[in-house]
Amino acid sequence: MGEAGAGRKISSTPYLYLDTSGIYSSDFNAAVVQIVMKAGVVIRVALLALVVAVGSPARATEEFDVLTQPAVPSARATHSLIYALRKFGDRYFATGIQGHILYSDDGGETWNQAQVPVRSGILSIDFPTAEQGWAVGHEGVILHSSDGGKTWVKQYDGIQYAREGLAYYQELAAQEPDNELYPVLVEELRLANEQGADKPFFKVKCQNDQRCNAVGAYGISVVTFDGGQSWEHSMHRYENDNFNHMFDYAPLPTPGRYFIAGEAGLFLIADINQRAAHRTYSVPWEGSFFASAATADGAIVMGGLRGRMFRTADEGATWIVVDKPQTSAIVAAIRLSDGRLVAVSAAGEVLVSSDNGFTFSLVPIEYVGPLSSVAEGPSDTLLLGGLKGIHKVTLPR
Amino acid sequence: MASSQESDLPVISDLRDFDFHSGTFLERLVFNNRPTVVVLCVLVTLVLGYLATGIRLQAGFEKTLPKSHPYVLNYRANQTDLKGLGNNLRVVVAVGEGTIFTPENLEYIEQVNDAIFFMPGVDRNGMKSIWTPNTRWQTVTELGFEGGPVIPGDYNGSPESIAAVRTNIARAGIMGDLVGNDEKSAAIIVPLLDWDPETGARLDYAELSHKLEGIREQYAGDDLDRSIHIIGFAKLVGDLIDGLYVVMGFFAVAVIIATLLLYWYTRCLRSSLIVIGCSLLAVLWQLGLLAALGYELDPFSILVPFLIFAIGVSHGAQKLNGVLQDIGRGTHRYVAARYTFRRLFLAGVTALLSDGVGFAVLLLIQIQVIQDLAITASMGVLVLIFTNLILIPITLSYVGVGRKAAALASEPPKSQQEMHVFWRFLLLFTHRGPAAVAIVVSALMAAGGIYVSRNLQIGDLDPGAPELRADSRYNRDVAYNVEHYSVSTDVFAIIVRTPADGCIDYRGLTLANELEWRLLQLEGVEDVRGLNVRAREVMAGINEGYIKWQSLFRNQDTINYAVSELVPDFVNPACSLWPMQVYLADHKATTLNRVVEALEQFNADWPSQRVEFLGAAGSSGFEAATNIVVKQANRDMLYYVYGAVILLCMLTFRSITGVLCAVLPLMLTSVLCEALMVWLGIGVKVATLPVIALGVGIGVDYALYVLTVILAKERQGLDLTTAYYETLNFTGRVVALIGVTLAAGVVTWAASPIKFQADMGILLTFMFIWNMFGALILMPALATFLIKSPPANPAKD
Repeated sequence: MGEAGAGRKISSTPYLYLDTSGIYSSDFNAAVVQIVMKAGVVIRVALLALVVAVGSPARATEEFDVLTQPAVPSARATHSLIYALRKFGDRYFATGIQGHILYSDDGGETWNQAQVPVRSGILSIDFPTAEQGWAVGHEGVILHSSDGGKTWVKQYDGIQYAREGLAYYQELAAQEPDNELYPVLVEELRLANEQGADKPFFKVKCQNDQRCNAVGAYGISVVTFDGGQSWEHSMHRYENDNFNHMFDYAPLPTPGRYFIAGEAGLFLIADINQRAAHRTYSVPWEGSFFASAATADGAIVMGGLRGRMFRTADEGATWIVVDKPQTSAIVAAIRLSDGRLVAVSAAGEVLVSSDNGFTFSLVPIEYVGPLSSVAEGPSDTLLLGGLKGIHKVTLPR
Repeated sequence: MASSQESDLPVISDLRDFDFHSGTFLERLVFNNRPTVVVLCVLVTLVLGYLATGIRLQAGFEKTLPKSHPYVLNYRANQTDLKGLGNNLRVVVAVGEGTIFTPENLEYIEQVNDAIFFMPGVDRNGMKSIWTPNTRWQTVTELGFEGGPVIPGDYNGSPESIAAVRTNIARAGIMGDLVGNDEKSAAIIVPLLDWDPETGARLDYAELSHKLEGIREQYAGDDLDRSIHIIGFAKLVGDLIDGLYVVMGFFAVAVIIATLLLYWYTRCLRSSLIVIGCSLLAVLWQLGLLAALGYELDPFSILVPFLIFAIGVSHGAQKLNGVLQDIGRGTHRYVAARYTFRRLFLAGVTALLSDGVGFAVLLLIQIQVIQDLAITASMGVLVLIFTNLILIPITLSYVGVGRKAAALASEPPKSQQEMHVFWRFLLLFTHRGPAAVAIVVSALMAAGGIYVSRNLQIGDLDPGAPELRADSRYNRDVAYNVEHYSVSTDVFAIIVRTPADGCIDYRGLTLANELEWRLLQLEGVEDVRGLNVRAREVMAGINEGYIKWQSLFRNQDTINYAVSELVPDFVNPACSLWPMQVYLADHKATTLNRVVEALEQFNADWPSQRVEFLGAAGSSGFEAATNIVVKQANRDMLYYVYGAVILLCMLTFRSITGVLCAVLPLMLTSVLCEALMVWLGIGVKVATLPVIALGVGIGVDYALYVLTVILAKERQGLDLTTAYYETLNFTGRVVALIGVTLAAGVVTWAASPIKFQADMGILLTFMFIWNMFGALILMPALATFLIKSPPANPAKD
């Protein structure tokens, strides 16, 4: 399916709905059908029958599927919904709908569109090295690039997740009949097999070019130890009994320790060496965490629903409420190279903190529509990603 | 055709000398029963005049659609489900200084909002503005949804409550929709009811439009700092109906111009008024017939009274000319009228029927308004036979003509040298040198015209509503909306049809996503809205508003829930039909073609049994269909009308060269008319189709008037110059009069507030005038080379 159009159907007329298409694969046959289309219906049907008889490999009628359709180069990509903006080294990445992965080497002035084999929405991207990168998104898609993000291959998707997960947990359930969680997970995955690829991964985080974690909706999570050649289910290793959505996966100051944040105040501390994550119940908040940033002094600032922000300096043991004006939900936060923190809201508000996240204030910035993401641009600029694409704005000092 | 035998009938000054049994049966029937004819005409006038008062004005668009195009058929088949998806008004209340966020300005918006709320015909529950309670902000909290109206219940105009309003507006996501992007205006969405629930009466667009103008006057009339901008189908129709009244006013101007022309020509007020009066009578009868047959006057068919009047005056002038000359020679007025009838009735009928042929070919175009135009115009021509060919001579037989005018008319013709310089100039073209020059110049013009007309565009080219002028109030309001809001008025609505309950099918919706994305890639496509887009937004909405959820999930439960939120605003209750609205930057044919081609390509690439993507509704969908049909019809029209005209000329002249002499000047005019359209930026559209048919159909009259006489004179043995000289004396002046009268009838249209009427007026004026010159210059020039002079001996035929 690498070539655009290889998976496409060759038409019968739109009005007759003779669904004879999908039978043909070669260009020759396509040409024949083109000629046939110009002839009358009767001749058309006859010739189609002939073509079939001559022996094209018949296959079942294929339906349009974002998982098999490659992303199409589009001048509109930079103006369309962007889910994530990140900077790795000198290269900026923007990911969005329709399988858009865009990269820029000039500080966000011009963007190139990467070759991506799917048209799913891409929600998160991570590059542990300059060359090796992973991107995840809707339909449970996991993509991999080994050329710095120019071309991508699909390593995993939601269908595989459901199929492999069911087998995996059935086996675990058989091994440990006393475990109460496994039968529940088996049931969940049975449902997932019925629905198809219906759950997104919201976040991918790689420790190195071999080991990455992906977490997502309803607590779905997988991990790879071999650069993505195989992905192992890790849902049972997380203390997430309600199957809450997991939106964020980020490192804590202590090496080897990470946190996972998500729906309903979910905040897990993960120790990657123990391969387990435990819930912190000290969070004074029952709403969702969407975003986080590490401060220069070693604390973590979390942002989420209703524009609420919290700060913890002791890996989640104690929290203070960040002093800030009322805004809509905080959906992304970053630390700038000068140590200031920037947070952006779903409604397009931009907040800055110059005191390591104790207080935030609104900065006057041109309204560019609802936002999803933010990255530090060159020389006092911010790149904002959101509903209307990528915007470069000046950040007042 | 005019007869050349003007001197064959004896001069009879005493009525007692006249043989009342002479003449044709029809002549005897009419003239020997004059009182009966007059009484009948009075009765018919009373009846049809009464009926004419009931004629309705109508400005809907259904009749302008090409009725057999698949797009229109698709629309009609799904009309009930598509209805109610758009008969909205958009009223934008704007302030000049500052923003709307002051107590005074917010109160001002509330006043306008309330005034509209109480207007009849408004679906009050559906109204939406920052002041209506259904415009709510909503936010998701850890406890669930939280929200309220954007203007809080405790709003009191204080800075705090205004700040709250501002925040709520941001949270409600209505910037660029209900609040202008520059915060200087607020929009009120006003859904309309087709039927008044109290009276059961149909919504009267003209009345509604006037009420809206009343509100505009009351709230923004003399305040330069405040303005109200109203757009929407209903307002457009209202403005068009108002435009029709303006055009009716032009009729008076056309009548005055025609009266002056006729008086200048005849110098007889009495008989001029008779001709004008009878022509007006024709219009009245025609309107009465229209009303009786259930036709309505629309911006197209209102052309017909103008044409009928102008044609009536032309033919009336012919009749008058004959009567004047006879009376001038001393014939009694009754006998003179009867002679004129005898001489010219058949010729007049032939000429009128040839006009009728021009109208009748319009019937072949599958667009209702054009067919209506064909029928009503043909009807008008029939009416003219009675009012102008019969009633004018009868009336003249009673009242006679002015003595001085009669004397003037019967003066012996001046010699060639004594003629006015203009006529002498025309005579030049019967000599080989000047004739060759005229032909070469015409050929160059034709070549230039063909070259220029290659750039002829299909469809409408100006922004805004193409029916109105670019600088009309309505289109300025459209421009304000486009500039300050994220809206477009050029919508191509793809009809998405599924089996019942099929609108929730993930596969269908994902195909819709694909089509949406393909369309978005096209130049000129600004946005695409529809069930699939809204469903994605709702997916995020029901998941705490988090933007990363904004995608079409393949989870059926989620889709079901999301779509259930969208019935019936975005999909019909049967969950089987919804419009995908493609917002375009303009309605140029190239833009529309791109959409049409993309849609066809998509359907070819991804045929599906789950969902059909059908063209098309929406203003741009109809325009696309119309363009396709009009482009084809434009060629067909030329074939038909020239086919008819050539046949007619063939029957009349019985010679190929005669046909060439008559038709080539017309073709030059047609070519130049297309070049003129390019030059004036007028595209080929429904309104220009009839222009070509009318221009050629009526234009051939000149050829018939001039060429028949020339040929007759030549057969009498005259050389071409003399033949043309005598022709000019006999019918030439009348041809000039007819050209100017016809042009005067339609030139006023150039000032019409309705854009396409102005276009029609300009083009028809051009064709009528240019055809006249073609008949007077190019035709004799062609005849110089094409028609062999007879042997020198003057033999009578």
